[in-house]
Amino acid sequence: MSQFIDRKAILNAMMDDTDIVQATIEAFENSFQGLLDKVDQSVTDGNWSEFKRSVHALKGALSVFGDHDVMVKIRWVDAEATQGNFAKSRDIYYEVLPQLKIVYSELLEFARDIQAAA
Amino acid sequence: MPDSMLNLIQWEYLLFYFISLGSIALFFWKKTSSNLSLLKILFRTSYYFIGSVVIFGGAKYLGGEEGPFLLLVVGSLLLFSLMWKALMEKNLSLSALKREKDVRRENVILSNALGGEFRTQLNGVVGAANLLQVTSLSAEQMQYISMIKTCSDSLQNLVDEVLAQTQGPFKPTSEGESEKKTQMTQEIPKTGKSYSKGDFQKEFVSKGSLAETPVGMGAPQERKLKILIADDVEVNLVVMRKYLEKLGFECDSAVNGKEVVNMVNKKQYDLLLLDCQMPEMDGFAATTEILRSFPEPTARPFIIAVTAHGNEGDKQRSKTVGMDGFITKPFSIQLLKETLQNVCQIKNVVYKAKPKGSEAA
Repeated sequence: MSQFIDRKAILNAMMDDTDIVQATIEAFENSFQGLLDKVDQSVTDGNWSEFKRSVHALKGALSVFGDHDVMVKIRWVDAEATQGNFAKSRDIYYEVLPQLKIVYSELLEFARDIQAAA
Repeated sequence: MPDSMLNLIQWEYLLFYFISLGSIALFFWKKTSSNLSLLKILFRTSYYFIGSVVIFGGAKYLGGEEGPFLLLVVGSLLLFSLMWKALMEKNLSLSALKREKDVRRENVILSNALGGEFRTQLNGVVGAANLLQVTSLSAEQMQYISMIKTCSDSLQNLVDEVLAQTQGPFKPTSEGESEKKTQMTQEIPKTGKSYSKGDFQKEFVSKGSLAETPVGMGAPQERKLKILIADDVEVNLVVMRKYLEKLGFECDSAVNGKEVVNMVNKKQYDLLLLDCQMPEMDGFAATTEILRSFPEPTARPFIIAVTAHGNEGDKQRSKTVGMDGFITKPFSIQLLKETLQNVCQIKNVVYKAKPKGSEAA
């Protein structure tokens, strides 16, 4: 039982095609750590335009897997960054980061379960 | 009745044949129109046959030579009245069936209208929640907004289920088919928005210049749509490409607006699916460039903005710069399929998808 992601909704949106689900999760897996690193780096450098881009990309990547609580918060992070409230955006981002990592592990688990079922 | 005429006809034989034919007809009629077993039908037919013979014999015995003739006349009248009654009943049942169909059809129209009303209100709630989300709010307020959205999604599903139940047993005619279609999603050029069942929100608006131009004349061309997708997020590109492959289409891809403009200059595309927010050149700037280079609107590709969920500004801007429509991320395969079907119609191309794997198309 996943805490955040809704497996059924993801499958529904992808017409129950487990190949697509797996490929999408794989693409997310490939880019996830890179995006987190970019956010960290931009915060360290104080490069807010890069921070804004990275957060936006993170939101875009995550949105593929439907709506859930973490998605709502990441959207909030993106909205704050878009409005130029970088400090607030950064604070919310680091607050939600542990949950974001849970979502990531849930997705990987989902992919593993699909593979096992196949 | 003159005696000579009575002598010419062997009433006994005539009535015997009449009764036999009637029995056979009764047998076949019962066999085709009732669920009775063969044995029961045989029994009832024999009962009718024997009964008729007995009545005929009795009439002859009591009425003399003219008895069977009178019986034939009375019998014929009775038979005709029975036939008339049966016909009327059948006619009535047909009328009832037609009335039932009409009621169902009215239900479909009514439920579509109600569904539209529900959805309009729901969209208002979701839109308000989306607007609130992009303002500065406390974590607690965000939780409440999340609750509003969850409830709205549930309500949306409920509306869909109610509509499905209302329209479930109705087998649509060609007219009904289009009615049913509007329930799920509406065609790009004719409508504004479309919503469908599921947790993934999807929308489409088309008010661009191309959508208002006439559809290509003549027989539709048998070729595949040439599609270009653009997004700076790899996951989104993978999803779009996989969805298109599932529907039997191929596509090229780009990661920013500059690449899109370059590719459109080199190759004639039918459809562009452009992410709005991309580095270097975004989807809006790319659209402006493309529209400038195509003075003839029908020759240019159909451009669809792929906007982020809840970004009302992007939706509005996509219309302003002249994009032909938008879909909101994350979208489902079904929405993409409907979009492609409509683009095929606009571009006068046969929707000829060879689905990969299952029965997607």
